[in-house]
Amino acid sequence: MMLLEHDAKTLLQSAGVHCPEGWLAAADGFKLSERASFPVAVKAQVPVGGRGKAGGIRICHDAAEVKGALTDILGMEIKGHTVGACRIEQAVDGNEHYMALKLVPDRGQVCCLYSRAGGIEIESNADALGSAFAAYEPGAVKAAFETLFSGADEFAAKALVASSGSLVDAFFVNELMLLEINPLMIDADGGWTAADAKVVVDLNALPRQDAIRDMIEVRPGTYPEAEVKLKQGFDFVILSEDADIGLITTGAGLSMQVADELAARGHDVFNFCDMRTGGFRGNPDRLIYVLREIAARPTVKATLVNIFAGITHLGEFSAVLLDALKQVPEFKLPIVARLVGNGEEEGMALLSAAPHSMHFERDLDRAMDMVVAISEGRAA
Amino acid sequence: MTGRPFSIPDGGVILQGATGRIGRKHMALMRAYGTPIVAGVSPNADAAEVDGVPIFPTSVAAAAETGAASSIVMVPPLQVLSAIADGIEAGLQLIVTVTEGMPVADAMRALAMTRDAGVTWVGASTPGLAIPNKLKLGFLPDVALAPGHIGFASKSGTLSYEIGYRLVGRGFGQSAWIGVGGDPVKGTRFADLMPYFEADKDTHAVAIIGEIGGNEEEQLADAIAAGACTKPVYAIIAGHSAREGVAMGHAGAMVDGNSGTIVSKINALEAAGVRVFTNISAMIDVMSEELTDASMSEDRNVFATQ
Repeated sequence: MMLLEHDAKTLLQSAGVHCPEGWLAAADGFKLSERASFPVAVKAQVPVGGRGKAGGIRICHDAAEVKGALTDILGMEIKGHTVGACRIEQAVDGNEHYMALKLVPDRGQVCCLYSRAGGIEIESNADALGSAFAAYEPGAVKAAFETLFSGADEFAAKALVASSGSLVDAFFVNELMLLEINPLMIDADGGWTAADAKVVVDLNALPRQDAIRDMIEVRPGTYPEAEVKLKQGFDFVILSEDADIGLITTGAGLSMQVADELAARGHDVFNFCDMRTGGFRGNPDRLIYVLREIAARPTVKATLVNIFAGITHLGEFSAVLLDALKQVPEFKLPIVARLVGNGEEEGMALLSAAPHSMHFERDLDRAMDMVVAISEGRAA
Repeated sequence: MTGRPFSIPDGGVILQGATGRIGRKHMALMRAYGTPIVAGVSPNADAAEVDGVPIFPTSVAAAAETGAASSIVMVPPLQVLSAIADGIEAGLQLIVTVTEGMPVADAMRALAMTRDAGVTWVGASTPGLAIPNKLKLGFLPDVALAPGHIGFASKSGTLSYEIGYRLVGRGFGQSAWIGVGGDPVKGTRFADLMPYFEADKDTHAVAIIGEIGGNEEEQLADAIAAGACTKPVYAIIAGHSAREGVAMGHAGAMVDGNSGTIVSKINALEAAGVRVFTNISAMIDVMSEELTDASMSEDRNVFATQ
């Protein structure tokens, strides 16, 4: 999961990486710290690249400009993400370099990347980008970086060794999957600052990464997918807020595929989910969560339940779903249920008792056609 | 760079994590399928045996006693790495880990360890592997398995179950089915399986069940283009509707900028001569039409009655 820049810098700073001082603003009435001196950068906090090109970053020279920038940027849509907060930070001077560490899964190694020509045009300066590979071990990665700094003057070389060393430590301590600093600002005196930071964390490491877990929990709604995974133990991703079809599905691959095939029928789905039915153990909480989310979207007209039960028993699943439906009375939508596998007859018999308009269809294509027809008002 | 060429050893299988809730349940299911589970491992076992299978404190002890060369690992996420280390020490040739949620740092270490030792690691976060009618290491549902001539390789469990099940309904089974799993760092990748499928005389065609994220499909395309598999390859790639920067259930299923996109994967595979689909029914229809010589093995009927 990609951290927002503000959190990424907070995490890096505690591992010794130099970052500009910055503050998080979630509303345009934000009062700037007295420590701030102009100019400052107002930066949209969304977990995607290309924020600058999308108009999500603005340099401001006084408080009025900051207010204007916040008014414009908060609420903006950037690559499907609504800007919920901005980071306001001190602008930094210096030469723009580029430094990154990433895992290379097929080699089982870490790739170190460095360029003396950083900045937003990094991709067009491919010639200046050097790379080196190292075993997954801090000493080896630091040594690999140092092979990339030949040709730098004395001050820059010192800054590069110091900054790469700090980045490597931050990478291993936090079990990061990607750490990219662009630009890394280096001044004439050998000072260095990470002006921007892209950090991908490993959600599987959360049980032993307290600082990252705290970031997910401290501002509810900031990392909604990680929050659900942490609290409820399953995956739920909102794909489109104004869609007309909700999904209750299990298995990441099949859930993605069903979302894709409904989209190919001209219907975006509200959500992706992998219920992990094997982990229910009779508890309806995960289903209650999803039913409430779907019920809260007035645009959603129908819900598709697709469970291929290889190991799970559909009788048990349906009993839990019935329980959840009872506990979420505001969910009144028609349901198309495609239940295949262990105990499908029992599952269908149980679900028939629900007061909802319930359609059973064993064929996945026909089930998707039916949920589309209902959402378009061509069937009830 | 790569470790031992992928293969599935003959002989007995050890279940590491045999006394947990999942281990007990799936030991019974795997044995019912015919998998020769000869020993269980549990570091603090309170039982000498589970359902008649002897339990040992380590894989080293279990392998010494039984001569097993493979293991299936069903332990909690933070214990997978030490279970793999135990399996390596025991001299196993194949270690399959089904656990979801193994930290990536642990997977990086496990990858280095297994490659150094020349051990094949499948996983993590895979439903497992199977040779239908012979053995099953993991969760693959029996209803989707049948002996036949299509080699299955999948990142996703459920999407592959759906496709396997529907192909079985059309009379096509599998020569072998290997779930490589949905994690970004894994022991066995699609491309690693191509020499196995190419050499396996029971495999007449290959089905790849891929998804967005990473570059595994692109590397597979490179391997196929370089001649690693001359048999027909059919692929489906899920995740067209994913949002950039958000992992879709699987830790590895994330689009990041121009990396890991469905377009990149489709283009690479098609350029390598792979038939690529984004619709399940289309894939099933084309495979059923084209693979007339790859239909079910004669012993299919044995299975149909189960």
